[in-house]
Amino acid sequence: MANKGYLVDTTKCIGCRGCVVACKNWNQLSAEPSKFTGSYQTIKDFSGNTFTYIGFNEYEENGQMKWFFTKRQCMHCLDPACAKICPQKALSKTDTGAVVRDMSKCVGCQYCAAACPFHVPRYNAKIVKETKCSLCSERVAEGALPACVKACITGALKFDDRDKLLALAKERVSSLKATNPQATVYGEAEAGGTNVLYVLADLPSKYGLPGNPQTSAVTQAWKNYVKPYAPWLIALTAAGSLFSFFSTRVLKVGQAAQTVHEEEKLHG
Amino acid sequence: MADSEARVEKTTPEARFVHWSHTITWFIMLLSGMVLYSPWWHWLTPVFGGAPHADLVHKFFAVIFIAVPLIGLIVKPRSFVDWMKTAVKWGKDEIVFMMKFPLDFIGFKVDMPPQDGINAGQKINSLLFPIVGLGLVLSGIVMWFTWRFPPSWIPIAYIVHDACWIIGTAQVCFHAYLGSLHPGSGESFWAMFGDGKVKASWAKHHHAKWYKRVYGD
Repeated sequence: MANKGYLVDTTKCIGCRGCVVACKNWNQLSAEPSKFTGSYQTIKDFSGNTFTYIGFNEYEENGQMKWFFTKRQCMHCLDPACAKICPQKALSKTDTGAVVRDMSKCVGCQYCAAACPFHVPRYNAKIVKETKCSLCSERVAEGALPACVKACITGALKFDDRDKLLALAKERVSSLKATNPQATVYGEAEAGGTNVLYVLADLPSKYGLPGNPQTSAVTQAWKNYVKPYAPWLIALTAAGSLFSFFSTRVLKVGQAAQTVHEEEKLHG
Repeated sequence: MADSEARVEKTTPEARFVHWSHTITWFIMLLSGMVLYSPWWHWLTPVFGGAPHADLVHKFFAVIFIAVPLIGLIVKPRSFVDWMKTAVKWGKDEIVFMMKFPLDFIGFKVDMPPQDGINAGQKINSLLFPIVGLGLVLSGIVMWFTWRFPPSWIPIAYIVHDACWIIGTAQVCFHAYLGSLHPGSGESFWAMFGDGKVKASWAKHHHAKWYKRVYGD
């Protein structure tokens, strides 16, 4: 099946946070009280109870205040680093490309959080598991829209096949270029491509999105070399000890010449 | 001349207690950690009452793993300092011991140079283990309280934690075998897990320098 995802057209987002409420509602996530810190942005970051939030990025340009709204959630990578690193194989891709978690397999080790190039998965201490957006795969499987897309009133969120959305995003960006020369499509190639795409009117960094999202080199080295090969060191020393156990007794290495050994008790 | 069957104290009750506690916590944490590390160990999960409880067990014993040596260090700092001082003391006897050791390991009878209270191999073990232990504790704290540390530290903590438990467990294989079932090691096993005493003749043979210093000829 074709990869499905949604396009976030940030130029159409008005920051109403209807998508955030719909997400909390559908996923039965409790609200978390927050404090006013000088911004309209009420939810500062992901949490074990927050799969999506709107970033209110404020800038002053030519004496004018500019707001860049960024709906943040799991990007649903085409080649998800989290699924690769999960020691319990709790993360997998659905046939439409959504990255989903099998809660019964998740042990809450948080390795996925370390691997995620977008730093999305969060630990929920109450259920002792990592959590994140599942692209409402259970709704999509029934032919419904993801909760956030369904709630969006301005058409900033559009759910469809990835190919169609990509074409749409490129078209939108080319028309934006006239007024916003930095306009770009985000998610086409970032982190190997993602199922959630963005139309950005400016540089990704202005939206609080990583310019070059990558799994850290340390995590990659750990995943590719340390984890699969290093434990053999234990097998090696265990095998060495086992060999010694037999070579000193059964094989009687080096004892042919010295049949009786004076210090039997001392030396074995 | 000491009676050849007389038994002399090799390890203090405090040292044995710390060693006991470390042995038990190490293996419990190794097994509970395995449940979280790889689905290969899925069959072990019910022993801990599910993976989340394996995590809890791991953390509970982590506290003991940290607390016992820490209390020991506070109560008897000299003991640790003396141990480390002995471990870093390397001379010709130690080097010759290590060079001849592979032969002893597979069964050849070799004459070893006189050794301290801990032999050259045990010195390596004594030096490596606190490093591994400290690596596990520090990285473990970062992994436990992830939200208190910068995100860039977390992947480093994972790699350090894994490197340390892997090196430590590989070391434990040698350490456990050489300290128990390797020919001639029976006495040292009971020195640590029994009453702390060893036969004087054995001590004289295996730890000549130490025996001479503590008990004279």
